[in-house]
Amino acid sequence: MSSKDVVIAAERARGLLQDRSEVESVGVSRDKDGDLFVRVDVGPGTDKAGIHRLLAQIGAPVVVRIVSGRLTAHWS
Amino acid sequence: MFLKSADGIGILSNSHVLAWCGRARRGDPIFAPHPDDSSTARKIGKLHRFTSLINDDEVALDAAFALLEKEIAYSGNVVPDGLPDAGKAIKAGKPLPVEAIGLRVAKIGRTSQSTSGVIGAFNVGPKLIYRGLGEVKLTGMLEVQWDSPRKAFSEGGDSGSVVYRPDTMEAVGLVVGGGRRIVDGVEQGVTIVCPLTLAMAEWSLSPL
Repeated sequence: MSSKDVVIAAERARGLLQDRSEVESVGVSRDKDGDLFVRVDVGPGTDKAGIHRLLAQIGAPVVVRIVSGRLTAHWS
Repeated sequence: MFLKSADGIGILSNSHVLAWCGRARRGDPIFAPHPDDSSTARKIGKLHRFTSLINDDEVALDAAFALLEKEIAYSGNVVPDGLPDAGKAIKAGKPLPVEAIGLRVAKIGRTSQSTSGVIGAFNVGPKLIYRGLGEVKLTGMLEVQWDSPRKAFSEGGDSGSVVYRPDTMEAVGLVVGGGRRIVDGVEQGVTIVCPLTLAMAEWSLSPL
């Protein structure tokens, strides 16, 4: 799978997850072997397996992570 | 970052730094240093272009461009003395490809000074908390992973800092925000970066 394919798959994942409020972020990342994957960050308590099932159709490797803690704009 | 527009030379920073997230008006005065940092703050320019973060949609650009007053002297994008890469000029770079994940980048900021980190994710769409505005959904951002949660790549007050590649001195983007969080039980620190080329294309900005 090319890097372009993974980027396109991430866009599809973003579309499929757009109404899911538990989804914090969707993007593309890379594993220790250098392989790209679609990364989905979700809030605590989210059914990871459910997200994987939903994204099975995008045809790219998916990693779902449970994330807590808020990111803030860097005001002074 | 200093850039050039058809209307003159100016500085590119965040909308939440220069334009009050979009609540400011074109032509509003821009002061430097920030009045909280120094009693020598003076008007250096006026707000020219900016994005609004106040809507229900995703925000792809937290950026603003202010035109410098004609009499204001500036040193361009040269890294100041006493810092890594001192004396070198930061150039406007090309859009980063997805293969840039893993690339080491650096930034020089008002609060945390000179730091470095690694691009950890591409085209991410995080939710960020803006003071007085609440949660804003961003899109198309880069994520820089801190070397450790105790070694912040950026902190409050670093917004608008230029993130660049030390290997080529090419600018990558502007620091928007970040923080520490727990990812699958492990604490991590990340910084969200708005790609520079998007703002340059949107407002026809070019290198000095």
